[in-house]
Amino acid sequence: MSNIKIDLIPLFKKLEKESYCIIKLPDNFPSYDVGSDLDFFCYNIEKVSRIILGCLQSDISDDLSVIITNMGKQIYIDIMDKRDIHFRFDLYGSLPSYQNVSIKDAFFSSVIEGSNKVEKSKCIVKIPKLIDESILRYIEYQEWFSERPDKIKHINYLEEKFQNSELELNKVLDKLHYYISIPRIKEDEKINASSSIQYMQYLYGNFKKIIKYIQLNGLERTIYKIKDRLSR
Amino acid sequence: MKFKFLSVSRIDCILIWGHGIKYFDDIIRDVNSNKNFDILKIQKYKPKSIKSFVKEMYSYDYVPFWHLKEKTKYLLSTPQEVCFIFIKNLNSNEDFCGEGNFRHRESLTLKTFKEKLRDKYNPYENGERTHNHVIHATDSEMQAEHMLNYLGYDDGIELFKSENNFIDLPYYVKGYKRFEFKLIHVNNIFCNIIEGESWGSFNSKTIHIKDSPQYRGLSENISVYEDYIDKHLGGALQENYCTERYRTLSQGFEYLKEPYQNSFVDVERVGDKYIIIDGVHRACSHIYQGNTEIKVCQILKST
Repeated sequence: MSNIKIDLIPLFKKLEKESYCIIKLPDNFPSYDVGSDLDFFCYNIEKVSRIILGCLQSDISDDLSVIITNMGKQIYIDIMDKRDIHFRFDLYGSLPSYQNVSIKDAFFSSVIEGSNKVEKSKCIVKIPKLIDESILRYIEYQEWFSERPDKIKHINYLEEKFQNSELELNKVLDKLHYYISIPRIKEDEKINASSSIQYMQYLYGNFKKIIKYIQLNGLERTIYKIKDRLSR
Repeated sequence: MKFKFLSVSRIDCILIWGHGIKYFDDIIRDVNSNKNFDILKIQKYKPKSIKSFVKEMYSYDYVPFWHLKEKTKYLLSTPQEVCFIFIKNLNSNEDFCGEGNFRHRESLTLKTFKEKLRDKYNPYENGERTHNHVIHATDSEMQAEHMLNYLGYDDGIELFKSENNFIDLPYYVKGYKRFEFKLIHVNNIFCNIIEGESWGSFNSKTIHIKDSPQYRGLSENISVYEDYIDKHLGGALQENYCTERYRTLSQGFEYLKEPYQNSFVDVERVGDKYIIIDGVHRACSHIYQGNTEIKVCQILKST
């Protein structure tokens, strides 16, 4: 790996007049971790890409190249350190398509229109309102948690905001329910009539839950949790 | 009366008839010197029958062809070679002209320009300009669309719509979704050039960029480039190539300098060679300044 470091400050200066916002802005921004990405919501992804590329072109060297992939409503701009992705700009021109949640298209423009400018280490950047950011995090949790348990971080984020009274639960729920609906889950699993088989299935289900809990919280907390349940 | 809702820019076509071809260079120069027009495509054409060609060209006119028959009679004896100049009319200034059934929408900018060209190049008799017009110009974008369809471009004016607007790709580079911006050595840069005796008879050849007429025009004599353009413009070369503009571009040229920071030379990789698909002039100017490397946009076929 070479010593590539992209200065994001002048890049965001050039984006000041554009309609965009960064979703889940990392705490260390405008610094970044190698291999990480920034998610943009913007009306005109080609225009924003044009500005980003215009800024990055001066960094192109024997070691650094830029790869742009245009998927129509989504554009990836990858800064490549030889063959590895050093950093990615992930630009969305509309809401990503989710399997587990149906969202009205209007939420996308609502997020951009409601975005706020914030200054982070002398870099002005546009981010969603806290309520929109929370809804987006909730949607991401809902979409990915079954495959990626680490997405629990989004729920932890929401809990923290509620506890600190930075967010009002009823307002979040009002907006959430206005823009989303949860698709009906098709329950076509045949229930076995035999009570002994049902019991076996119940035990197997609990066993799976325990394994999952251990993965997420560790053995000690799992034992504590089981003891707590048994004592009730 | 002006209508603000009428479109500002549009695609138009100036058609040079056979008896005007001798003024081809002058007309191209006149179009280029008009800031309202951007030349998109220059295409020479030899119709099989001038009679049916004339009829075809006027079939989308606002006036029925029977009305134009007498007016266009002179065209039947003109040389069987024409040239289409497709332009982006940047300031069309459209308005409604004519009365009754002949009332139609027209670009006043193009109308004025068309009359200037006719004043300049139409044949004169007894000191008076004749109606044997050397050029025809479209009244509407639909007429330009029809001309493109006639030439075999089924997409019509969509042909000129660029894709991937985050870079300055020419309209004819279509269907690509992935691009790599990288630094490459000049030794690996090649380009396609045209060989042949005239605009209607040619073949293409891949050579190293330093052997191209564009580079030799800078390193040896500009006449090498001038001869190349004169021979093939309107044939295999359909972009707006112009010796004077190339000379101006190469003087004090700074590759990728603002506001052209996204105007990369576009290349396609074939084996070890990077073949330029757009930007030979820019690449030559950059290399002629002594640079041994160049930042390019490599178009990639698949993801």
